[in-house]
Amino acid sequence: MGRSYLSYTMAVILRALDNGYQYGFDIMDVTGLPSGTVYPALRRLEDLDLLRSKWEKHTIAQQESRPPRKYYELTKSGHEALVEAVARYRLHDQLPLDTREPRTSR
Amino acid sequence: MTSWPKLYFRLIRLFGLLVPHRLREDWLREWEAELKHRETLLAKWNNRDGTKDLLRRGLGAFWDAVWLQPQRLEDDLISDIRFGLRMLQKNPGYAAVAALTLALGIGANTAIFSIVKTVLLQPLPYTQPERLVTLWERNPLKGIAQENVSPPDLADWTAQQRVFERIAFWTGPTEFNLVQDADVIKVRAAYASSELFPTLGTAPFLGRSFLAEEDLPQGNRVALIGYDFWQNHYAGDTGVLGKTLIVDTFGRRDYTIVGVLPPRFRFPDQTEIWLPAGWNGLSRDRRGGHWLSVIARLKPEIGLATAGDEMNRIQGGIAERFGDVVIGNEVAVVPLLEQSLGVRLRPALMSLLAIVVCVLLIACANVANLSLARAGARQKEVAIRLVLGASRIRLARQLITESFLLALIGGVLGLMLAVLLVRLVVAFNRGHVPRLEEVHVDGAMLLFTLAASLVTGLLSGLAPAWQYSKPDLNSSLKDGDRSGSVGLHRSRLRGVLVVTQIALALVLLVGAGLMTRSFLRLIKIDRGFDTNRLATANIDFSVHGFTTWVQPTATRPQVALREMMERWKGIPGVRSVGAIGSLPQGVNSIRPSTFAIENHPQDAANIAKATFSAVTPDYFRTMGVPLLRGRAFTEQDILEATPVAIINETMSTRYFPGEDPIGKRIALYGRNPGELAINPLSTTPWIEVVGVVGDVRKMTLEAVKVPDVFRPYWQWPMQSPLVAIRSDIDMAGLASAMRAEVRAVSKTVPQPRVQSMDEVLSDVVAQPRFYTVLSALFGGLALLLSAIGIYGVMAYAVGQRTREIGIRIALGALPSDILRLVIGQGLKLTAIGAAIGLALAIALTRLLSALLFGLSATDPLTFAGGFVVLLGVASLACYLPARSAIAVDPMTALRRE
Repeated sequence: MGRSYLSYTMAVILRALDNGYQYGFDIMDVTGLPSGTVYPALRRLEDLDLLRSKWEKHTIAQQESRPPRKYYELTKSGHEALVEAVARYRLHDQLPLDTREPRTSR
Repeated sequence: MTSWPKLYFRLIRLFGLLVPHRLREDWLREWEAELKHRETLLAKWNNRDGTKDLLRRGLGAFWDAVWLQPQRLEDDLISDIRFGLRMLQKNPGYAAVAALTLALGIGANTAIFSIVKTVLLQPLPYTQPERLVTLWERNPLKGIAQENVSPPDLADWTAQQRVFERIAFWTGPTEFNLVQDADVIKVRAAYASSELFPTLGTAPFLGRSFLAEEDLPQGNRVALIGYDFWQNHYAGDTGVLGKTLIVDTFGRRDYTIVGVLPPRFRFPDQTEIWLPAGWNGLSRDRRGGHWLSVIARLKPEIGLATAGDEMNRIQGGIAERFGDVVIGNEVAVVPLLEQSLGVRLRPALMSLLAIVVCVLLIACANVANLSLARAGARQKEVAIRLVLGASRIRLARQLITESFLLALIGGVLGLMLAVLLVRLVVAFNRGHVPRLEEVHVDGAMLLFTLAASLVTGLLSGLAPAWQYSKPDLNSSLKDGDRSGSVGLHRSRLRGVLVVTQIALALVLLVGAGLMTRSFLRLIKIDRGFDTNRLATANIDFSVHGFTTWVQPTATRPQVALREMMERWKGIPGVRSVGAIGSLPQGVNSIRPSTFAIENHPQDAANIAKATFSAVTPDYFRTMGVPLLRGRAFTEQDILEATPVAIINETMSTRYFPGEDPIGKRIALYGRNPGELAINPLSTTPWIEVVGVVGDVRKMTLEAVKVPDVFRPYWQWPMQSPLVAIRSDIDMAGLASAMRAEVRAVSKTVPQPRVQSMDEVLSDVVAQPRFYTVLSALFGGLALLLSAIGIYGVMAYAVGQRTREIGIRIALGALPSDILRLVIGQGLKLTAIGAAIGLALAIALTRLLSALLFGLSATDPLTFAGGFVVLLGVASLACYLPARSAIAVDPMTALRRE
C-alpha cells in the first residue's frame, strides 16, 4: 500500500482520533471542520487502511435508548502515518481545540 | 428503523438515495445514530439553536454521499474496461474489422451532421435572423413564384403595412469595374437602401452606414466597403475613410468611402462594396419596373402567416387600382434562411442525413452479428462463469463495455474520416452550396461523435449482451452441440439483423439510384447547342468610353466588338466566333419583354412574351444551333436597315402555330399602355421575322425552352456580350491570345475571363452533383457493408452445418445440391429483406421528389435495378461460403465434434 502524503485535514483528523475523539460528530467539534469535509476524509483514511470502523456495542446504545454509533480507531499504519504527519505539519504544540463535551465510553 | 420525522432526518433519507446500494444501509445507520445522539445531548443542555446545528451537520451528509459515488462503479467499471481491452487484444482481427466498420458509419454521420448543422440549423449572422423575411411579388395563376418589386409598389407597401418593423431594399450584387491605379478589377457591388443595415442589425465596424437622403436619386456619392476588401486593398488602414473608389460601370464615377462593415458580412451574396440606392440609376416611378429585392423585419408578435395575409391585402388593393401593369395580387413572404438555401438544399441534406443514419444502423448490425458469432465460440466460457456464480447482469455489462470500447475506437477513427470527408466536400463544392464554406471542425462535431459512438456501442452491443447472458446452461456445458438448439436463438437473431440490413440497403440503393439517374439525365440533356471545344468569355463594355444605347456613334460597343471578333478569328486554331447580348438564357438573364404581333390582337390576360437578345451573324453557327428556316443575320443588318429578327422554334410554334413566321412582323411595347415602341433610327415599330432557329434550353437545372427573339447586334444593345468561340486549341493558349487582342483594341475594357462551356455547364449542375455524389458514395458503402454482413452470416451458418453437409455429401449429395441448400438459405433471408426494403422504399422515396428531374420517385426501372443489384451482390456473398461448403470432406466433418 503506497501512500502519498496526507493532507493537513487528514492529519488533524488522525490526531483527533489519537486523542480519543472517535465519533464523526465529535471529530467535527474538536477540529472545527464541517461534516462535508470530515466524513469524506474518514472514508478516505479507511480506504487507505489507516483507520478501521466499528459499531458500538448494542448494550451501551440500548442503555442510552439510542441506536449504536459508528466509531473509528487508528490502525498500526495509522499510528505510523500520524507520527510522520505530526512531524511534517508540526502538530506537536497544537492540541485539539475544544473539549466541550464529555467523551462517551466505548 | 423507527421513523424520525424531523427535517434533518428527512435530509439524511434523501441524501441516502444517492449512496450506492450496497453501502446504503450502513451509511444511513451511521448518520442517523450520530444525529440522534447529538439531538439528545442538545436537548439535555437545553440548547435552543439545536435544530440549526443539526441541520448544518445533516447537510454535510450530501457531500459524503457524493464522495461515495465513484465507489458505485469504480471497481466494476475499471475491471470491465481492462477485461474488455484484453478480449480485444486477443482477437485483433475481429477488433479491427468491427472498429473499422463502426468508424465508417460514425464518420459518415459526423461529416453530414456538421454540414447539416452549419447549413440548415445555424442561424444567419444577423440580429434575430428568424424574423428576417424577403418579399416578392407573386402571381401563382401566371406561374410567377417570385418577382422583384417595383419602386412604386414598395412605396405603397411601406406606407400601408403594419406588420414589419423595418423594410429595406437592394439591387445586385453584380460585378462592377473598379479602377485601381493602372488596373481595372472586378468587384461584386450592390446598391443598398439606408434601411438595409439597420434591418439586418448590422452596425458598421468603422465609420457610418448610409443616410436616408442617400436613398434619393443623386444623393451623396458615398460607399461602404467590406471587411475583407478593406484588409486586402487597404491593409486594414483606419485612415481609409474619406478615400475614393473609382467605379467604371455605366459611367465612371468617384465614390467616397464612409464606412467599413464588420467581418464576415457579405449580404447579399458575397458582396464586397455597397453603393447608395440613390445611384442605382433606376426609375422610381415605373410600376412595371421590377428591379428591387426587398427584405423586412417582422414585428415581434407577428407571424409569417399574418404578414402574408396583410401583404396580400395591400397588394390586392394595388392590383385593383392599377390593373394589368401590376404583376399580380399576391406577395410571397419568405424567411431569409429559406431564401438563401433555395428550394432543394434542405430536402437534399435531410435525405443525406437519413442515408448516413441507415449506413450506421447497417454497420451496427454487422458488428452485432460479428459479436454474436464470437459469442458462439465463447459459449462454454460463459456457461462456466455463470455456474460459478457470476451475475448475468455483470456479464452483460462486461460485454457492453467491450462494445463501447470498440465504438469509442471506431469513433476516434470515424472523427478523422469525418474531418477528411468534410474538407474534401467543402473543397469541391465551395461556392455552389450556400454556407458550405462556414463548415469546420468544432466542439459540436466532437460531441456528436462521442454521442454517436455511445449510441453505436449500445446498439451493437445490446443484442449479443442480451443473448449472451441467458444461454441454456445444460446444453452448452455438454460437449458437442448436436441439437443446435443454443445456436437457434442466436441464428434467429442474426437472421433478423441481416434482414434489417438488407432492407435498409435496398432503400439506400433505390434512393441513390434515383438521384444518380436524375443527375445523369441532367448532364446529358440536349441543350440545343454543341458543347464540344466551345469556350466562352464575357466582354464588359460598361466602362466609360462606350456609349450605352443603340445610337450610330463610333463609341458604341458593337464597333469594338466587331474588331475584336475579327482579330479572334485570326488566331490560329479558331474555327468560328460569335456573340450574344447575355448568357444563353442563364439564371440572371434578361427578363422577357412583352410584344405585339401584327394583325393578331391580344387579350390583356395573355400578352405575348419572349426574351429579346442581340446576336452577331456567326453566333448560331458557332454554337451549333441549327437554322431551321429563312436566313441568318449578316453584317448588312445594320441600324439604318430594316429592323429584323430571328425567332426560335418554341416562339414559332407558340405564337405562329400552323403558319410560316417568315415575313410576319412583331413590335415591342412602349412606355405607355397600348403604345408600340418605335425602333431607333426608324419610323416604324415593326420588326420583320427573317429566320427560325432551333431551341436552346435555359442554363438552369430545369432547362426549359422559352420563346426567344434574336435581333442583329447592330440593332440592339450589346453592353456586356458573351462571346462564344469554337477552336481546336487548349484553353490556356486561347485565353491569353484572346486577352491580348482585347487589350489591343481597348485599354479600358477589363480583361475577360475565358471559360470552357463544359465548365460553365458544370457550375449549373454543381449542387445536384454535390448531393448525388455523396448519396451514391454512401449507398455504395451501405451495399458493401450489407454484403459483408450477409457473407458473415452465411459463413457462420455453413460452419454450423458442417456436420450436416458432411453427412449429405457422404450420402451422395451432388455439389450442386449443396450449393442450392446453402445459397437457398441465404437467398431466403435476402428475399425477406428485399421485400421489406421495397415496401419501405416505396413509402420513403417520395420525400426525394423535389430533388429529381424528369424522374418519378417510384420509377420502376430504378427500383428493379436496385433489386437486381442487391440480389446479385447477395448471391455472390452467399456463393463464396457455399463454395467452401462443397469442399467439406465428409470424413473430417463427421469426426469433428
